Amino acid sequence: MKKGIKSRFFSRRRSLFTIGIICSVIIAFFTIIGPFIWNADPTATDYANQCLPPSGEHWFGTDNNGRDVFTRVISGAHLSIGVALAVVGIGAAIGITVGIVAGFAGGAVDTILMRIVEIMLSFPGIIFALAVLGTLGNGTEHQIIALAAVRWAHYARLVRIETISVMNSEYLPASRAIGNSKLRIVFRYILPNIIGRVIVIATLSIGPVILAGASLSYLGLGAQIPSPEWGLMINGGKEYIRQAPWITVAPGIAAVFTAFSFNLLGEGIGDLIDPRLKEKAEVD
Amino acid sequence: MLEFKNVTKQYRSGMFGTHLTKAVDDVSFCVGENERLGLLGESGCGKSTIAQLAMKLLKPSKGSIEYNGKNIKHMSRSEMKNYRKNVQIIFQNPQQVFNPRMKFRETISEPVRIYNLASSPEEEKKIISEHMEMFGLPEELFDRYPQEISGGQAQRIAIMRILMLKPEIIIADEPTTMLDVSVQAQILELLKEVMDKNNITLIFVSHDLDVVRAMCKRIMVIKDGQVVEQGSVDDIFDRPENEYTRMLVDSLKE
Repeated sequence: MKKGIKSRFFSRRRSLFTIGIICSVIIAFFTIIGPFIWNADPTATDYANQCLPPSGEHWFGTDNNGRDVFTRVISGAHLSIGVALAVVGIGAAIGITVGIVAGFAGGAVDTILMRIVEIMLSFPGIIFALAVLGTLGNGTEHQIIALAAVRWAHYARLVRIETISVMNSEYLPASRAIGNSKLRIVFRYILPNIIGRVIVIATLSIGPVILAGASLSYLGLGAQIPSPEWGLMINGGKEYIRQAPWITVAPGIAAVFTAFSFNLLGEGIGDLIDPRLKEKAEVD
Repeated sequence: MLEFKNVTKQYRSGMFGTHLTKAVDDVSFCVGENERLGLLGESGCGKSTIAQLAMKLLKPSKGSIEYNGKNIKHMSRSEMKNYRKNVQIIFQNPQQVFNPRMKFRETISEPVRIYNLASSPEEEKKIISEHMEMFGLPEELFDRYPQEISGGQAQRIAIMRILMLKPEIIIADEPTTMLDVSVQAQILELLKEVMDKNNITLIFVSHDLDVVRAMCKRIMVIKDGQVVEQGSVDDIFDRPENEYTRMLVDSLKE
């Protein structure tokens, strides 16, 4: 019955989770400590060294303004990832609240909240974000608000469905019969049973949010030139993609690598948090 | 003590909610102190709905449910708490009725905390371990999740958990249906022992004639949400008046 620690650790799902942790630690290292090690000015131009290919001196080469791409990717990480984390965090907080209230209360409250969510979801996300930014004005904070205003509705819909499935479980009437208060049912019954899925979905959405943030930066909303935001860098380098592909490829790989790591991390956390998922994982 | 007065529960169905389905149709009955009432009927007849109505997990469409003369619909918060302390339920599927994300340590301590049965953490521990011992449950279950123990153990915990409240009435909604045959007898024996020792009124919901006969003194036969016949165990078995009851009894005798 009991498997050895070794086989447990090296089961397929666990090793993917381990990779996710390692990648995330690498990302955290470069994001938090990186700028202090490679502390060259990411915006310093050097027109004598435009579009140099990767070398020992410039690991990812230089861009069309002679700026070191590696330094820019590193110093841009906190901007790109920070915005995405803030968006997902705020969006999930609102989405969880709305979703649980709708699913738990049911009836008219549910109907009203879900119509609002549907209206939100019926807008193309980027258009809505543009409208919000158009109203609030440019800037990173406003970019976070704009993206979170789009994201929360996705989480709310998921959380509502998960909440309803808990409401329809057999343990919920049992918890009411024994006399648990509504507040306790929400925090000790509903929340723990849905949070695994929510964390997985939230972590999985970090990648797309990074890209959405980049799109807004490209359109001139959010991060501004010459700040080293990944999306901005990709878009800035696209005219030189034939001569100097590294200008776009380097921040692109950084974004994909980040999204990939957060995906593995998200699924691993989901397994850990939810014992039912863990059981399934140990079977395969 | 607990009285159903012309209780009807109906659901709307169909595309526009125009079709009414009666799950429970004009059911009246009363249970008194230390009584053993069996609700007998095939699955889908509405007997579980009656159990849920009594627990206020569902609201009746018509009629009233009264506890000591007070309609449970109009109970204040504290009255409702008192009601829940005194009227408790055992569910059908013991492995599904506990929060899968909660260890038994917390699940078991819930009634003690909700109803302030203990004045200190030490007393709480004492009450719980006394009951665990009484029910032959090892303390290592505290660190388990519901999906990690057997159905029989889970049902023992369910019975123990509500017994800590010292309720007046226990509604057992098919408490053995989901268990292995070998465990069924143990659980029934345990339930019977507990009832007798504590003078608890039992409402036993089942489709199994044999079990109802062993557990109850009075039987209500339910079909399509209606009570078709009621009487003492002997009357129902030896002199069934209703055709449906006769069919049930005959099928058992064969």
